[in-house]
Amino acid sequence: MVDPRSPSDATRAEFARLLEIYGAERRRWPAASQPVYDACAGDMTHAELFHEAAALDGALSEATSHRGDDAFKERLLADFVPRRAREAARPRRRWIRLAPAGAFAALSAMGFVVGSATAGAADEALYYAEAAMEPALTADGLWAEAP
Amino acid sequence: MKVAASINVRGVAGYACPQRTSSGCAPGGVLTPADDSDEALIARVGRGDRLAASAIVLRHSDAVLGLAWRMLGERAAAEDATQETFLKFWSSAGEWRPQGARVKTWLLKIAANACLDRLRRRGREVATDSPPELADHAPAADEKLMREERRAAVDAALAALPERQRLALVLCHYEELSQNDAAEALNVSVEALESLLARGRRALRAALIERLDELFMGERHGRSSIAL
Repeated sequence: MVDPRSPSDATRAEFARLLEIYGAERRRWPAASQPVYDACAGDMTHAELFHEAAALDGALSEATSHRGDDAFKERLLADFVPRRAREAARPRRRWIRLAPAGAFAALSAMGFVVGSATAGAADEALYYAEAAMEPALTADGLWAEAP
Repeated sequence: MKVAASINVRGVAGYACPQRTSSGCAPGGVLTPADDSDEALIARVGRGDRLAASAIVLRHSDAVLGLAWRMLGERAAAEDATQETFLKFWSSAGEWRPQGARVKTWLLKIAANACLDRLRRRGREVATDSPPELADHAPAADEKLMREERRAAVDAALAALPERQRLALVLCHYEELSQNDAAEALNVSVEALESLLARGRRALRAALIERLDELFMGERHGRSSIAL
């Protein structure tokens, strides 16, 4: 338990250690350690250390702030998110993935039916053509039996 | 279902959920404040919700880009790392579980790893005991120049830190992650994080100490909070 009125040496040492780590802003300290801060922040023992830590916090805040501009965010949104979202949505649109296989099967079946019908008609046409030509061919002796 | 919302860099306006109420949306498909948490959005991203994905990007892209920029030191590389981060994030969004790290922590962890990978490939790490070269400018004539000089000095000192010390400072100071979240993002214990922070701050102070009087003299007598 930290006594806020007269911090012990151990508390002061812990305060110094945490100043080195988290700096002089209370909100940056772990919640569990904030009683140490409250007990020692006004204590003069580590006033110089506290001042240095606060100065370093201030210096860090002087660094350039890097934030994305609107153009970059628009690129992220326009080029990236829709594509990823579509990919993520694929499982719900399974019929799209199955479409090529279905189309192939349908075309194969259609090809078989058309092919069969066409082949039957061709055989029939050939039969009638041969029947019609047979007398002439026989007369010319082309199909005559060998003597 | 047509989504009655527009997306631009200022936000996801009139965010309407394209899912049915079973997805967690309020009746009518309108996103309620409770639905607007990162956790709710991630669940929707896993189901392919484009608007939820957009909301996550708008909410966290600055933090990811800021971290990448501080780590990599240049805008183009930082933007590439940001895109890579979101790519990895989406590909694993379906695996995210609410009991794990916060979404921002998870994103920054991915970004941190992406940056560390890039730095290793570059071989650009600067040793901790080599202080940054600060420009030897003449004393600034006005406050704006003085501020620019201070900024350049701090940027250089930060850039010269070893990468993990810099990463710890960026996560804790600039992105204001809690100690546990920062340790999670760095994949280290809280004790190790504290060691990185303490060493990083000491190195920064050492790097800036030679120019402190010159750079921060104007502030020393005014606002002591930024005088070193």
